[in-house]
Amino acid sequence: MISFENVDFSYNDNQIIKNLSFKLNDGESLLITGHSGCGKTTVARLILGLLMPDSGKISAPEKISTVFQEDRLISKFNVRKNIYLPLSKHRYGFADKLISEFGFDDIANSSISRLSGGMKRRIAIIRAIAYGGNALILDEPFNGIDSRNVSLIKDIIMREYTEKSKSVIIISHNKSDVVATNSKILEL
Amino acid sequence: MPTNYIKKLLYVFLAIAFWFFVWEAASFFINDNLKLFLPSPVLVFKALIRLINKLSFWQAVLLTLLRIFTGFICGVLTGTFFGILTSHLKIFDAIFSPAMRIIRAVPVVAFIILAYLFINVNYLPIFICFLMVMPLIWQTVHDELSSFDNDLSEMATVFNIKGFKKLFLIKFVTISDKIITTMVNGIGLAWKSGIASEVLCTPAISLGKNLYRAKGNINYDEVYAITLIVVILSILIELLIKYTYSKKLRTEKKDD
Repeated sequence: MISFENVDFSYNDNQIIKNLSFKLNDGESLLITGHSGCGKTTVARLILGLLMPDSGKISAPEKISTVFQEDRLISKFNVRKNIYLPLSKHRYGFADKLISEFGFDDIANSSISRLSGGMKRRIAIIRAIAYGGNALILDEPFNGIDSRNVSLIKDIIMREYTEKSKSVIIISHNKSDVVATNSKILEL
Repeated sequence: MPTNYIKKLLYVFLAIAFWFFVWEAASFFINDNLKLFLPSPVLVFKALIRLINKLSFWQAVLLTLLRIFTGFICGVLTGTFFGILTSHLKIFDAIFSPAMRIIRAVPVVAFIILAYLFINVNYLPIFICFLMVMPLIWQTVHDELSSFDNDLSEMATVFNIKGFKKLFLIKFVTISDKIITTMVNGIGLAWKSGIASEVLCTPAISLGKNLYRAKGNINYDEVYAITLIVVILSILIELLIKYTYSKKLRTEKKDD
């Protein structure tokens, strides 16, 4: 479960989050939306523990996986090595399965620097799903990805997270980015 | 053989031929008009042949290489260790960073003279190379780790990548280009300082002693021949470091 209770957060006296409360039960998905600069990514960073709130209470599972707004891949590593990087060895098989499902078998040993932006985005998504965790946060995950691949990714996220009673949060300015039809929507 | 490769080889050959011509012309002019002695490329080449036919010369080359390489490796390892320490812990930064900056600023000859009092001449070039390389590597590792990409650090935190895995698989992999460039500069510096310390302290079997002796005997064709060997060895080691690193990169980037 992920919950915010009356959370306030400000950057240098500029209040970004004001008295925010919401609750996301296990297996539920949430779309956080709003205009640029409204604090969507800040909410993700607060959940991940990368920022501390000024006041209020945040509850979140200990192990959360994420897709950052930027890909944050290691340019010197190939695709497979980037995906393996945060994993323990027993998850390599699962990662390989995801690589196949995403259709990346042929480029698994290629350098990251050779790939397009959309491909890098999908590799960041594979890395996050392969890592596991009790919740998944995706920040603008579908930028540069075509609609056929977006629906494939949504299906895999549903299978690996919501259907396994794990929470999913998607941050996007596009309301059609919800992973499930019954997703909650939080507009900041 | 690709045309570009032939073109490149031709340019290298032309450059060498040009400089040999300049050398020959300078030697002719200086020896004839100024009554000074600058050995011609032919004389130096003959001296080179004489040298490479001597076993004692190869022993000197080997021992000099060993000394310089030992000092260089010790410098790289110690510099890296201190770089990690000072970039992560403020207290070590306060203690060691000024010392490193002082070592960098002190002229190499001053170190050679000072160390001569305490260190056996056979090991002194090792120590000098170490002192020259260590602060150079330290500076790069310290600066690069201190200003390391915050995005990747956050990624490591979220994915629970800690300790050595974070340090070597994320940080060092990311900054490796800068470290290799510094190492290439460092090996050049190690050669210069190592040979200088050998010339000043004359360890029993060393290129530096051969150079010193040749100078003493006013055998300038041999001085030039030894210098040429030193330059060639320095370039070869530099190329070896670059080649090893680019080969590693190629292996990593290679497709199945």
